[in-house]
Amino acid sequence: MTAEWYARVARNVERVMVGQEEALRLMLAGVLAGGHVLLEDVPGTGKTTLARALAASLGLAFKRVQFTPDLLPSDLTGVNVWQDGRFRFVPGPVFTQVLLADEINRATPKTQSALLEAMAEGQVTVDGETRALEPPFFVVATQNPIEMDGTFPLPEAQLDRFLLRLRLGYPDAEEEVRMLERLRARHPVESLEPVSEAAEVRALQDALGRVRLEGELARYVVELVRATRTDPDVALGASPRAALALQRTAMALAALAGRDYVLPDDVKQAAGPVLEHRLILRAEVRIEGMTAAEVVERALAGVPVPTEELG
Amino acid sequence: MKALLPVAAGFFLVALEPRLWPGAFLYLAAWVGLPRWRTELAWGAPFFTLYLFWGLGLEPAAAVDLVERTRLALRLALGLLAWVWAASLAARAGRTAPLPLFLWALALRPGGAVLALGVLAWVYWNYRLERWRYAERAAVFRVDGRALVAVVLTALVLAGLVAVSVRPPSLPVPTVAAPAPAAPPSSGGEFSGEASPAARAARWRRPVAPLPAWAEALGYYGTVLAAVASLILLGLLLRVLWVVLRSPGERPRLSRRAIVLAVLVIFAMLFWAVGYGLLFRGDGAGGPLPTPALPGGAVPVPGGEVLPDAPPGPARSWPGRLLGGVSALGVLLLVLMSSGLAYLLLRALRTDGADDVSGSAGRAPARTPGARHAGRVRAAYRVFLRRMRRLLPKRGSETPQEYARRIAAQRPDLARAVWALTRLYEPVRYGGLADEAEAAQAEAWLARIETELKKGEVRP
Repeated sequence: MTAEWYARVARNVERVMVGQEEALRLMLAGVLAGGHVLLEDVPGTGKTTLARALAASLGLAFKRVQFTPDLLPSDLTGVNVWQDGRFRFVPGPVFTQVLLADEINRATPKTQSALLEAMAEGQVTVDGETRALEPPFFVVATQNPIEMDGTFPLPEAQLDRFLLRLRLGYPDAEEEVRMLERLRARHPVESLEPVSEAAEVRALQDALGRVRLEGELARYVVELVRATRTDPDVALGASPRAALALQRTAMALAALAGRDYVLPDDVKQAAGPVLEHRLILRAEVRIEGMTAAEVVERALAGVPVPTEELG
Repeated sequence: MKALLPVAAGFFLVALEPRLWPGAFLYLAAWVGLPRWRTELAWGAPFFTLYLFWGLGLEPAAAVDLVERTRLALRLALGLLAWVWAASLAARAGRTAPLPLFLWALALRPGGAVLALGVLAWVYWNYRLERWRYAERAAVFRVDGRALVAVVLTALVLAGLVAVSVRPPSLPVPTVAAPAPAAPPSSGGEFSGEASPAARAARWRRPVAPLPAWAEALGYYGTVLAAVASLILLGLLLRVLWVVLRSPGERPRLSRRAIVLAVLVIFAMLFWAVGYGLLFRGDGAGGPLPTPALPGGAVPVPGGEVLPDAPPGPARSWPGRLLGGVSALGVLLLVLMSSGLAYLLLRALRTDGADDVSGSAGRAPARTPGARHAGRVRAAYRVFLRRMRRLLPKRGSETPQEYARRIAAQRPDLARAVWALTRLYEPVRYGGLADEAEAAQAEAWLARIETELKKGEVRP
């Protein structure tokens, strides 16, 4: 059922996005796992288009917020206004189902933190009153890793709330030609019809719990996460929340592949997007050019995959 | 399955006449040496024995007598079919694999030797099976002390049963109902003690006509069936004991099912005891019990006189023996019914236990069916890894798919078989489910890989 849903959504999104199958699959895994996605890449690679196409295809309510240094928390969450002799709550853009937080690192840490409660608990508290967000609630944040002037890097607590960090990358030549052909007249994202709905997404999220993750694979997940903590080049390794995220993403990838059990390949595929943005490397190795991706690669190469023991 | 060969050989040696040994062992050798012909061998077992007797003429003396020849062929054919059945159970890693051979041997030669061999075969086979299962899980095998105690107890109880059940008690019973004509009783119907030796012998003579053959056979097989029933009961009791003792350090949980099970077993035991009494100790259902024997074979008779030198041997009237046989059949039926119910309850108990164990991190339900076939698929993959160890060993951090991809890149001739085996292995190893067809496919693909590897060895 999940595999059929994936094929349907992917076909629809591919009408406007060319050559981003892998990113789309991981984003849909994020949707199924009930997590949030951070898209990090240079401008013009299709981050916003992908988020909009995804929201339109899933038939979910969509809002976009352009994060700027003067954006206030109340601009996101909403405010109580005095009207007709009483306070009336005017909901902010966070009251939606897919929230595109464009260039999230341009807002101040205070505003970024306003998203924490919404992302972690699916609710918003304004003036002491807590309001639930309508599920499924999915945040797609984008940030540009090149222009760092006037930006505020996301705090670790907030980075940990993102299930996945994805990089779209440039399409290859063939894909770019196909993109030009398709987008000659007008951007078809405007005319994208939904092929799913919120109830179906919620049902698929619930069904994810029935995917089997074998006991030794769960240990494999834990060993991978622990390997990032003991790596000499890492100042701060992945948290237990990262282990949970890795497990859930692997389960979602298995479901998208039409399986009801997780393979070690699912775990390996999820490891980079789940773990890399959660690691803080030591300053000296960072200066030498080492990246978190290399640490994750090292962990994957060092932890044995559970298969068969040969005595 | 090869581990079952010594068991079969033992039963064949004990139960068959030496003249049948060559045929039996030739068949076993064919079974091992011609694995692709096993279906034909299974269907052809009776023809195989007939061919041996008519075609090869292994026993010239027997060839003269058609009835004798057929009887021998039938014995051998049944033995071979028992082996086929046992081998099929062994292929599915069944704990009861030696049972067909045991039952066959017991029917031919009901005696202590077969029973003892049965116990030994059961212990040996289950030991091999447990070792194999531990190896499947890559765990260290060790024998539980309680298992050893259970085996010793089983052997002791069986020894007692052999003494009681298979050899009927030789109670000399005086023929009070039919006095000997040569020595009429003295006045008042009292025995005087002055009888002549002929009269004394006549007094001990059987008063009834010889039993018809079918009644003799019924009584005989009743005895065998009673012994089998007692064994089944014993096994059942041991299983109940095992269920109670299986969780050391914890309070044994006596659920409602376990209590019902215990009651069933006790009822079965009672029926068995009653039936057994009818069979050996009584003179038919509701008949009077015989007078107990005194030391030295002497028997007290009315009047206080003790007759020495009483001739031994059973002296029950044939209706009594007939009823005994019928009651034995009834007992067997009851025991089988009770055992069936008990088995169902044990399965239910085991299912309860399995539900408690959560081996997966996801919330997927525990899936136990197909575990046996899963073992076969995993074993095939393990053998594949061993075969590849020298050529292209799998790295510890490689997933099965990554490994298959590497092999496909370096040995394209193996690619198809390796991918097929990998695709069969993954759902078993990480999904926990397999059926017999998949297990057979995995073994076939393994055989294909082994063939390709052998070709590669001879290639320059």
